[in-house]
Amino acid sequence: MKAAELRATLGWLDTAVASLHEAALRHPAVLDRLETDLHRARAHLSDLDNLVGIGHPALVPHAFPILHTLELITNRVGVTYLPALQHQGPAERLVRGLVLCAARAAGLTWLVDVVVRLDGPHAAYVAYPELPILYAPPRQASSLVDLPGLYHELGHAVLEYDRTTSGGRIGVLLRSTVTQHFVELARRAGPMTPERRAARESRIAEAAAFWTEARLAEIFCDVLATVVCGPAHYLSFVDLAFRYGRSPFAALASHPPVAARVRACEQTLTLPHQREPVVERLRAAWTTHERQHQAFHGYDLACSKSLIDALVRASLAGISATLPECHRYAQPLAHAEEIGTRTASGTLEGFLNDSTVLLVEVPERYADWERGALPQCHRLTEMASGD
Amino acid sequence: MSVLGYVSGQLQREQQQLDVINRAVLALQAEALGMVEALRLDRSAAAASRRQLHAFLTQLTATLAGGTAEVLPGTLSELLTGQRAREDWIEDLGAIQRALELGQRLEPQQLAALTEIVRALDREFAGTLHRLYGRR
Repeated sequence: MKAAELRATLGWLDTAVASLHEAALRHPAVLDRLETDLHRARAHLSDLDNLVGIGHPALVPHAFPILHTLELITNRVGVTYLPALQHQGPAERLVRGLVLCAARAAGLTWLVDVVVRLDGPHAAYVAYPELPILYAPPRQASSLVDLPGLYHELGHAVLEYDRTTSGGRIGVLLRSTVTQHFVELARRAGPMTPERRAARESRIAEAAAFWTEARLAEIFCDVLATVVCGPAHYLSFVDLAFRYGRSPFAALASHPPVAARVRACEQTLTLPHQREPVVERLRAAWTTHERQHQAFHGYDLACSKSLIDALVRASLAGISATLPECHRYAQPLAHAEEIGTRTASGTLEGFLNDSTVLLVEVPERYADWERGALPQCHRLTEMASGD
Repeated sequence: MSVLGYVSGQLQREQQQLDVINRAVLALQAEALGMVEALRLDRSAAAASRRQLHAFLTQLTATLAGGTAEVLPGTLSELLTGQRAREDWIEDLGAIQRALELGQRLEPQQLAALTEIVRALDREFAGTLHRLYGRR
């Protein structure tokens, strides 16, 4: 039954993909990959038919992984990529240009193409890291606010590319940083009873296990976005953290607590940026917010400042090793009165940092400034995307 | 906060590993049952499968023995550290590795153990697949 259903789905997908004429012109590499996927799916379906046809009890269990692989392929093509390619309009192409600018600044030289969907919160689909789909809210085509979030999402493509090409060097570095930190912590225990030692080691093991691959990935992506965007990402993330609606020390299933992430962003900033008045204002506001909440004992153990700082250093080392052309944003922030009266910095990150200064210091000027800045950013995207 | 960035990559990796291990065990099953031709497998598939499985089991037994910082996927952890003692699995997987190294045909109970591992990996993969694409 499932084989018949999948055969029908593949037939529909063949027709739907073949009808993506415009996408074929603008995203040829993506179309090629989808056609390769469908070709593989037909081979898998043939294998499934064969296994089911033979019907030997020892072989039937091996049909289920093939069936699930077919479900993945048909969903990836039909649910993820196809709708994205069918809805490529001027706004999507504009934001695609912004993403390509961001990717160039971040050193993603291996990126082949990007598809953008403007119908949800910031996210990335990175099954094919060199051909990711980036998601953003519809307003991203008309506003620079929260744009640094897309740099974070590119970080997931970096991690996936690293896993597929280098066995996950960045992940290994982050994992070993966690292990080393907690081994050292355990070693530093002074004299204590065996029962107390066992209890302490159990708490340390629990704290170490908190750092899943998913949570480490989020810290890396925060660091990368801050490296490339500087204070612009710090503002963007602190703003997100303020809007979080729960204790800044609470963890989600796949994300570290926002308090830990804010610290990671802050520690990633260059020292001059950390001392910028705008950054100090943000830090002071965030510190006040944190003090209104209780950090439970588990947080102090799992997300100590020394561990977060070590993870930042490991992430920076990973970026140096895997993104040699990553450009760290190090320009001093402009004074608010200079913004809009001087020649634009010429980079997207420059515009994002100008927007940061205005949003923090003279927010009433922001809307007018953005109206003038956006066309300049769009000219940058034309150069990046070749549109 | 989106989990798509992590899960989309994880799904791809789980599928690739599952496909390799599943086909490797299937090839050795086919060899044991005399069904290599019926399954349209290459004669050389068994040798490649032995190498792939050996590499996988080396990593798995190292993780089980606590020698790496790797964490077992949930379903595999349930299987290998559950009712049956971890040490039993390490011993059995070691015996399978030695048989693979010597190019020997695996015993039915060894193939059954490998099939249990494939099932556990498949459950993990199907769970992640549902997380991303399941009906809400």
